[in-house]
Amino acid sequence: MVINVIVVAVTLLMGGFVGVWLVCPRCRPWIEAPKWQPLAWDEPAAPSDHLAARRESER
Amino acid sequence: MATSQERRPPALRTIPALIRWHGYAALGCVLYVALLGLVMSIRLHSPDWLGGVSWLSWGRLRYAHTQGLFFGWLGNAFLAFLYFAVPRLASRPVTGVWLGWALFAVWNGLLVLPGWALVQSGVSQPLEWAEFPLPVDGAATLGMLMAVAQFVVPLLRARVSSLYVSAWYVLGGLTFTLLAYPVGNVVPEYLPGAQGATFSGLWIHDAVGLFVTPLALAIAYAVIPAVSRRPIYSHFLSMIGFWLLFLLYPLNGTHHYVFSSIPMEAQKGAVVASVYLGADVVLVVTNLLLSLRGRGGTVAADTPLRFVWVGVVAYLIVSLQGSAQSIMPVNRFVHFSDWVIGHSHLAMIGFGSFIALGGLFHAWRLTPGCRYYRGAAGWAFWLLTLGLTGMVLDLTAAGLVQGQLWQGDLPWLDSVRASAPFWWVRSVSGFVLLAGFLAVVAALTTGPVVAPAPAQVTTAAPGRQDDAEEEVAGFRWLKNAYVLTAGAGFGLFAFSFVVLGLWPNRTLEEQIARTQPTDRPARTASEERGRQVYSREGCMTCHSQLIRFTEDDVRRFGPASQAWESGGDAPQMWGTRRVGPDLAREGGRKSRDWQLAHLWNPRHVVPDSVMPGYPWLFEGSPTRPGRQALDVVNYLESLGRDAQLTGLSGPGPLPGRDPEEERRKGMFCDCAIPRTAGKAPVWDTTLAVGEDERFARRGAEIFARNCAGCHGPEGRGNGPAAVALTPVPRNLTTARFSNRRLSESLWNGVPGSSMPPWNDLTTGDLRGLVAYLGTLAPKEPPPELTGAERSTAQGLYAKQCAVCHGPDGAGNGPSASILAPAPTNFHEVRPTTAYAEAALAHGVRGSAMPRWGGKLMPDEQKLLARYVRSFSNKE
Repeated sequence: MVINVIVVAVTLLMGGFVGVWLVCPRCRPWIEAPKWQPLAWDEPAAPSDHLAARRESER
Repeated sequence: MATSQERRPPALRTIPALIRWHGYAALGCVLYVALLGLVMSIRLHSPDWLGGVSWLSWGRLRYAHTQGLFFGWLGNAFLAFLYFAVPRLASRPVTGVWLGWALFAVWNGLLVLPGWALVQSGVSQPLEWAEFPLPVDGAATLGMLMAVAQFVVPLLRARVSSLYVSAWYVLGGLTFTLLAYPVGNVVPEYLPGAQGATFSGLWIHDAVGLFVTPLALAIAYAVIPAVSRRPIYSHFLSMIGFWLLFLLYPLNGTHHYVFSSIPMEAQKGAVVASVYLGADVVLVVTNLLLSLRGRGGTVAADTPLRFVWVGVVAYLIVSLQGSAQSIMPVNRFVHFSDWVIGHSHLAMIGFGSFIALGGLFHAWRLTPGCRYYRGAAGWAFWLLTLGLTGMVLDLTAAGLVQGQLWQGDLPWLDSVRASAPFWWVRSVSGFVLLAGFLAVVAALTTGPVVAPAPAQVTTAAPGRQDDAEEEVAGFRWLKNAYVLTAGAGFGLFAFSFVVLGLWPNRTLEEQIARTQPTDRPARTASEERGRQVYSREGCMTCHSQLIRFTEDDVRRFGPASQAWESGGDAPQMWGTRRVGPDLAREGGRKSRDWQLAHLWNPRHVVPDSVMPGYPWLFEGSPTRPGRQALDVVNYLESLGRDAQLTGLSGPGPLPGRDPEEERRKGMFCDCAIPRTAGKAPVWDTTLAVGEDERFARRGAEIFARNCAGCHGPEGRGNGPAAVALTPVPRNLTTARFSNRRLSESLWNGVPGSSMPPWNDLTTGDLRGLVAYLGTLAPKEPPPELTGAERSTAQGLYAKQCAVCHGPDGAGNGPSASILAPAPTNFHEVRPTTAYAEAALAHGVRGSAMPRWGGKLMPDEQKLLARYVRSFSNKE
């Protein structure tokens, strides 16, 4: 019983993430956007627009 | 004129003084913690070093070591980093400077320092990773509450869509620890035995999983992109990793008590969650390491990043190791051994401390007013890496050796002897680690002062976040998603609480009610006080009180521990490490005198023991035990009493073992014999034709290791423990013992004396002892009596001696059955004339043999002495 509950919980959690990623492409930039945040820390000057940088890296 | 801090945008306004002060506190604590660890390690191979000082007792140092590492070192290091990182993560300052100083005062002034002072003065609770006593638990909870107010509130005011994964880990780590801490530290204080253990197990893992891991990963996720100037590989993967971690970590707790009486379904659930957790860690570490692809040069050149990198790799190794050792076939082998100690050092130093150091160094070199000496940081890295690698490899190997020895039937002490070389290496590694932490101190207190940050710092974080939200128009509700995420987070915590805490408890309640005897005697006040002393001295850090449902445990210690047996123990003292043997059934195994002599100085009765002595429980001498010593012995005597009363355990051979068969096997092989009490095999050395000398040499070694403490190095009954034992240990040079008598005494001990059973020695060792004791025996031949002498002696003997020693000297007189030690059987024991005369004249202290000096004439005593010696002629 306990094992089944754990397996189901892990499956639902993983499935939820992957499902949102697959079903809602518009969420993808939102999901990945914060990963640029640390690059702004302690920079002597603001980096270029992170979205532009992201598009560039995807290219 | 505006300072550089004031010129910085609010988002980056840190509080350098708080970073520095928490950093300094962390450095002071880690030096003390490393020093404690080194002292404890040295005392494992030099147990008398620093002995005799109560506040330096091994168990108390262990309490101070683990809690100091957790709160003093890692807690302060994490808090220092949070003052650096949270303003950046939340794009706004922390809640308040005043709150910061109050938190610093509570964390160090009410939690760490009083906690150390209390546990080292003997006020503690015997719960792993929860050793600080209840009043300090209150201060810890207050400190965590203040940390939530200081760091979580600013993060909650940020937009969800702009929360970087480090912020998620800070949110999760601080809030979940606040929930888990009382569950693991307070509940087991009131919930006894197996029921309390379910919650203790939760906290043991939550301490690592909900405090150390999230905050260390917050640092890793922050430092790696900040130093490498490249974003993390995938924020998506990092969020899967985050949520899986918070789902799975709390579900691991029960894997610390595999094969215990906790319901097996909960144990298996914890094992499954542990394996899943290993997979999650692979995902997290892959994401982190992929973020550094192509940046090997940066890792090599930047010391803080190098610390983080090693920490991440250690995280992968320790997590996979954790998954593996939770699986039952591995767990039964390595649990209770130094393998687990190596695992915990890899987790707390290799993972937690290395990443904390990376974060601290990184924050330090960017915080105005701090000193940072790069060269010393490099030295610190290499020393710590060297010390850690040596220690973990050494302890892992030691654990494998111990596990192998415990699976066999060799005496417990053999595993202690085998561990000695490993403990030396451990001490050397510990010294290198201490040197590494000294280099850390040098790196953070010397060198040039960090210059103020450039004035033109700007962050456009809010604007960029708006951009991101505009891209997903229609999902603006996500900025208020805290309700959803907080609900999910609390749900995960409640899930573990129910699945591994409440649910097993309900099953345990039913099981205990169904199986426990109805008329269990309660502990006496003295036994209860003894339990308190046992607890405060940390005895459970080396002696478990949990016989697991494994063949090896049952064969060595008896039937597995039932849930009801520890039903009166709140908090439970099952333990997770065995340096010494399990004590769940210790009652009745050793005499009270033996236990007292052992408490005074264990090496007096067990020459190779590494247990510390407890002389402060005595009034200056082993013959003058104080109340606390007597209480501890009473408590030890009570262990397993209920199991014996209900017939669960007790003397007698285990089913399926035939001592005679073992004896026959023993004649031709050197195999070990399972621990079976009862009828003894006879180690007849006359059968070992031509090998007497070889066995005697071996016996001499065994005698020196096991027997000399009481019987003295030459068997004259004058060992260091002899003064504390009544009756005094036998002078083995004053009588010739038959092989049967020696075998019987070695196998079952001598009731009424302090001689314990030695039936865990191997066949060869027992034969060797019998052969060696034969060489100690006097060569004096039995006397020849004339007819008249014999007739007179028979009359005297029948009148004065036969009531105890029996009509023909076989020790079976009418009174014999109520005497302990039993009267001498003169067919098996032939004393020297001098000893027999002395016994008659003065009696035998500690036995029922009275002095006959004033009752018999000297000639009569001499005649009787010769007469009793003549009995062995009839054999």
